[in-house]
Amino acid sequence: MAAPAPSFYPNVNYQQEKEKITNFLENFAVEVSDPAQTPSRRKHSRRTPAALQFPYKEQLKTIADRTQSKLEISLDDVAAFEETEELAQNIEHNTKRYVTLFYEVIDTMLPENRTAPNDDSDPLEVILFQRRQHDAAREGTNAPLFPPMLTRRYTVCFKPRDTAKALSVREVKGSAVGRMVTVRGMVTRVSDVKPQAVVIALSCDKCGSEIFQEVTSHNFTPITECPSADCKKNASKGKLYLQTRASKLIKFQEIKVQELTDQVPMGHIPRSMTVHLYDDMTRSVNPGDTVYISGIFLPIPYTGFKALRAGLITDTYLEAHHVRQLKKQYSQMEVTPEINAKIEELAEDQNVYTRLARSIAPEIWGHDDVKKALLLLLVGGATKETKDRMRIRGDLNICLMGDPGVAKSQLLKQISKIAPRGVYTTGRGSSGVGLTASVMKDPVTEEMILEGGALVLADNGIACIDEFDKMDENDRTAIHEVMEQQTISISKAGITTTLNARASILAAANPQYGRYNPKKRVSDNINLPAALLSRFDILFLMLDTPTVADDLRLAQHVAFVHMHLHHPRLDGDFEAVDTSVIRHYIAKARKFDPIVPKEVGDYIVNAYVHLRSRAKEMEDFQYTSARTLLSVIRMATALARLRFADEVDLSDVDEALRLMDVSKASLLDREETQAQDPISVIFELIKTMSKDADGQMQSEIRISKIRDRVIGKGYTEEDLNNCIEAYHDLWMVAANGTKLRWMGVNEEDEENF
Amino acid sequence: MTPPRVEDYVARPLEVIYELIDQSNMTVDNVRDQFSNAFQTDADLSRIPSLNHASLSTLPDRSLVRFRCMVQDNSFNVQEYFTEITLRNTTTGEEVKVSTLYCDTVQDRPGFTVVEADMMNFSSNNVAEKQPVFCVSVPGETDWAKEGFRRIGEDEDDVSSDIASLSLNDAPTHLDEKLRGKFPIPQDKYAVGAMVKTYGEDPQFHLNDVLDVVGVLEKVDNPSDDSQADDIAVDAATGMEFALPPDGAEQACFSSIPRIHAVFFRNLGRSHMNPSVRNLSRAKELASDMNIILLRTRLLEHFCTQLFGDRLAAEYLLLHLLSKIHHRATDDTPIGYLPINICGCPSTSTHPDFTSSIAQLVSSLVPRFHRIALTLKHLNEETHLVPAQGRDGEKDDIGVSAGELQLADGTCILVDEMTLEDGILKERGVRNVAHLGEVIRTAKLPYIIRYGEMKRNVDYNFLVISQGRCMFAIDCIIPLIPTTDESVDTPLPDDLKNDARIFLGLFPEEDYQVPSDMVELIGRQYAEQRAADFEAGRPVTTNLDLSRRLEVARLVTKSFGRSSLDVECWDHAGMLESERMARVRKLPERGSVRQPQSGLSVGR
Repeated sequence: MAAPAPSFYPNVNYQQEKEKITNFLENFAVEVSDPAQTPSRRKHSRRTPAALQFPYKEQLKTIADRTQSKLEISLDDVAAFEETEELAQNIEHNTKRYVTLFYEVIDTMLPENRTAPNDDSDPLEVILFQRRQHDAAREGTNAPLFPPMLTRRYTVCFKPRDTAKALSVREVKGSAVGRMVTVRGMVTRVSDVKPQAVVIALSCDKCGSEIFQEVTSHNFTPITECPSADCKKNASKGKLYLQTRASKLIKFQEIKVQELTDQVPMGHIPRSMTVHLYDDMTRSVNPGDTVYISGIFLPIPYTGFKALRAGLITDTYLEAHHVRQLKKQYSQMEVTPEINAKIEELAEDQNVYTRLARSIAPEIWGHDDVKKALLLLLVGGATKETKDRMRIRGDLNICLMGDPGVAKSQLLKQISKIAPRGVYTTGRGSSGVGLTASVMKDPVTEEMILEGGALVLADNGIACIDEFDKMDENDRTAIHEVMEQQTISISKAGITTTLNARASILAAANPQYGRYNPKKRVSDNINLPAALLSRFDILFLMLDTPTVADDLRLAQHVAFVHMHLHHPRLDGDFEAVDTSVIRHYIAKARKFDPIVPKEVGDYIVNAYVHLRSRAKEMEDFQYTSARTLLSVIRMATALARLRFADEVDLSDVDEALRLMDVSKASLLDREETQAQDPISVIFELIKTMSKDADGQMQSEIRISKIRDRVIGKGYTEEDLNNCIEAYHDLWMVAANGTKLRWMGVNEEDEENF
Repeated sequence: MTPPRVEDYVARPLEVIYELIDQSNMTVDNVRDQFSNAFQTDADLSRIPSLNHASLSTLPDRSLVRFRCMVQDNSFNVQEYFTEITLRNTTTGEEVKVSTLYCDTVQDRPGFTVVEADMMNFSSNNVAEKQPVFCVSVPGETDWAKEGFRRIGEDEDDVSSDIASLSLNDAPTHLDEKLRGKFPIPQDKYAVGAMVKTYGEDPQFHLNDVLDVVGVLEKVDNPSDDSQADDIAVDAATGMEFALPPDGAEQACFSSIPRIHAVFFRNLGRSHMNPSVRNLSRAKELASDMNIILLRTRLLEHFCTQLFGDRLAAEYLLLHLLSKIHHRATDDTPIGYLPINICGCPSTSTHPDFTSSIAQLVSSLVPRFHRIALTLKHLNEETHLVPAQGRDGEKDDIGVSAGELQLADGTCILVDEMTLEDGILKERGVRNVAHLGEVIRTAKLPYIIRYGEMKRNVDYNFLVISQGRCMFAIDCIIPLIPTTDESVDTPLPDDLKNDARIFLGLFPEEDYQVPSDMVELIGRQYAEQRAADFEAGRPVTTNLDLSRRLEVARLVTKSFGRSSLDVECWDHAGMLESERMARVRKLPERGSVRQPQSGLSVGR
């Protein structure tokens, strides 16, 4: 915008503008290189390659044929058509006026419909046809009897430019009056659809002439005296009667759009705005929908006495031109350039996985692997749909179990905050109604309505359920369905339906006896049925065991917070990634749909077979079933998504397997946690591998063989290298780095270590 | 032009303003500066009649008033208005332009009618915005605080006028019944509400902010005109019936409350909401160590006598009154927050006045106090604890209805669980109790909006009085152990009362630090304690225990008038905590494990 533009343009030459509009409608063209592909809109159409389409001209044809009733003018097209974008800007600043101009121009471009009406015709068509015949038969009628609005069989709407910034209700200020604005918000209420008169037809009881009155505002006074020449001449003062058949009425609906909670500053209440919807747009939105509505911001003047009393204030509303609904939560997020830059910078970082994971609840110490799993939960695997329309769930489900006071709830709350559609609830507090869905009787309309509980609300998001073990039995049953089928079936009060609940479940549970008892079996400690447990992709046990170093650090951390009223900088160069950046990063990652290449698939299968063979260890707790296989794939795809990759690779699978292993390790062998660090495990593994069938120690072993086994176990090559490094005084790498040779082991002497 | 006198500012502010605008070409911002410069000192301000102290009927229309109030509802849309309106003489046709700044209605001028504004010419040149917020007088303000505010700026010794003015608050003003719901404490007969409108840049008032507004009072429309206005409104609406309430303008019911067109205003911080803090000279005297210790001892003794001689409960009560949320951790845990539950209180049958005497004691010391009596009837039928939008149906959209918990920060709330009896909580009651529990736990007040809920951080001092453990998740339970049979209900001596008010008003705001050697000591003790617990097979001291003890230690430090934690205070806190925990362990275990954190651990 060059000049500070007031919304009133005295010096615009509307005749010129009309010519511009005509030119645009007739000559705007898009190039179609291949009819199958989406046409790319382009500028002028001076050069005329073979495949050019004139979208508006063609639409006008269909409008003339009465097969289309709405002409939507994309302002992007208008802007692209002109070098200066002047017309588009003028439209945006004085939209109401330009709607009229477009009507006038299009009226002249459209041919008059002279075909005789048939039985299917609209009553209005019939009347118009008859009137024309009638008028033709009558002498001396030269006045244009029909207001143009009456004969128009189409509506003109503007579609805002893609770059138009969506405002919140409170950002729409008085300066926007008369302009095209785009508002983002949630529909809270809708009125009934009502007819609104655009043109009313009145007929005189004395002279019989028909009078048409255009209605331009919301309040109008119908003419009461017949203005026709006949009546005037005779001073007969004919009374006028309303004729509904000949009047033009359009559908009208009033809705309220309320600010979304993310648009409301802290300490404020969402504001709302009235929006008027007409014709096709009516009934297009429902309460609870998140929408972008573009339209003209207009005042409603007070008239008469009211103006004096309250009168210095006016009401305002938005006349809708374009409504866009949002459904998917992750995809709706608007990415600013700064955030984009940050995401790209993150994507460059080799350590993005660890860095993001540690940025989840940075104030909670340690639990790195749990956080990694939670990050994967946020990203989620790719949901697949088979040809016979069976959905294979991509969402991960995670269960955290552990002693009170290990920050499980904080983790859950953090996750529910990071996820754009996260719902936090506790198993104890929520009845079946709270978690699943309920049928309620609307107090006003007495209608039965379905109301979503936490799980339905978390559709396409994450449901964080605290105190999972204390949940009602009925709810758990409902959750079975959600966790595998991702739907909720309701059969209540005569309503039977299935609602989508494509949610990840993050559950936290306390051990059965308040604290985890290492002397008891795992299944005794966990108060959850195995069928439910097997639906979790991954389980973590978080115990609160005192270790002096950690305790000291924690105490100092807490004291620090009390001392400085902020959190200490975390050690090292680690800087927590901002929540909103995490959210955007995840949103971007979720757009990838990685596939599993053949060799990776084979690798997963091998690993799975291996896991199955080890299944005995886990017997009393969790089966290794086909679900485990799916879990591995899910986590591996989530990891690939994090790398912004289109294919899953071996390292993803390794990491997924490692996480599975860590989670199992956290459940097993509580007493010997030391044995669980990868280095010792690998060492043990190599030791066993070195023994031949007779239990004899061999002095050499091929590293590639070890590597396969190590990776098969879910560890990484790095772990292996670390292990080799750590025990370098027991063995040496020989044969050009392909073999490992035990020191001091002869063919006969195996007792040496 | 001669500068207008203060009397003119007060008596005919609009004329002064219009003159300033016309002659000196002033903007709204200039007018604000001009006025706030004219009323700089407390003494100047005290010359403006206050809506808090004077009855509305005695204040003339379109005069300058002051209002100390809390923002109850900021959900109203910005209002567009014409900056000028044209009046035409019906007989001569003469036209006069009238400014419409700082008023919503034009004063009737005989023989003139309003020329309808040209709506097609609606441009930013002649249209401006005002931001309306609904304000109520600060809920729960205690009598002494009200009185203290009134006397600010007046002559210190001028006591004679006090008694007279107390009766000034005559019969409560007429109020549309629908608006009752907008007052957090509807029982408060003297609560005043006003629509405060600000001009110029949106000041972005937050909910529950406390403001001191100076502005032009525009009084209630004459009741006789009301009916007429309604008739016209209906007529105009018949052409097209609107199903939903309009955006910009107020609902008809708001015409029964006064409007204040703010010329200038001040956001009152917590320390400004306590009149006793203004007594700076006394505050300085108190700051010396000796005086503080003496004051602390005397106060504790007094608390002690009222709490059946329980020294521990008295200490915790004092610490509680000194608490204030300083900060929220990244996981939103409030730091500095210490809601307490004094349980084991004598039953109402033997000591019917116990709760009242506690209420009396606390309210005589803090500037804002509210007592929530938990009775089934109150919870089920009478009250809404949290504010909600659209509670009263859709047609009469009065914005956000208040809840009993919509109060200004720093309000002491006494939750009286003693009055609760066996019975059935209905849906509304369940919701109320759940909300109360949530506010106590998180120090966040939920606002029910359509399709959801929003939260605002609040800082209330919750004191729950109960017989058994209270039903809320309060960590700091103090089982009362009486050492005497009777609570002696002696009024606080005046000097002690005044000093205590300054003490409680000032010290929560003071700086506080934990020296790094203390941090180390604390860490070491904690690690050792945990190791010892684990060895002994006891439940392990958790970080929650540590946090709580740090919290108590901070308040202990403050109660001694110190600004940094030392070993003495740390040990004192440890002593208090271990004594308290010893008592808590003796409490019968609850049927279910509702509070896993309580009863688990020992602070040293």
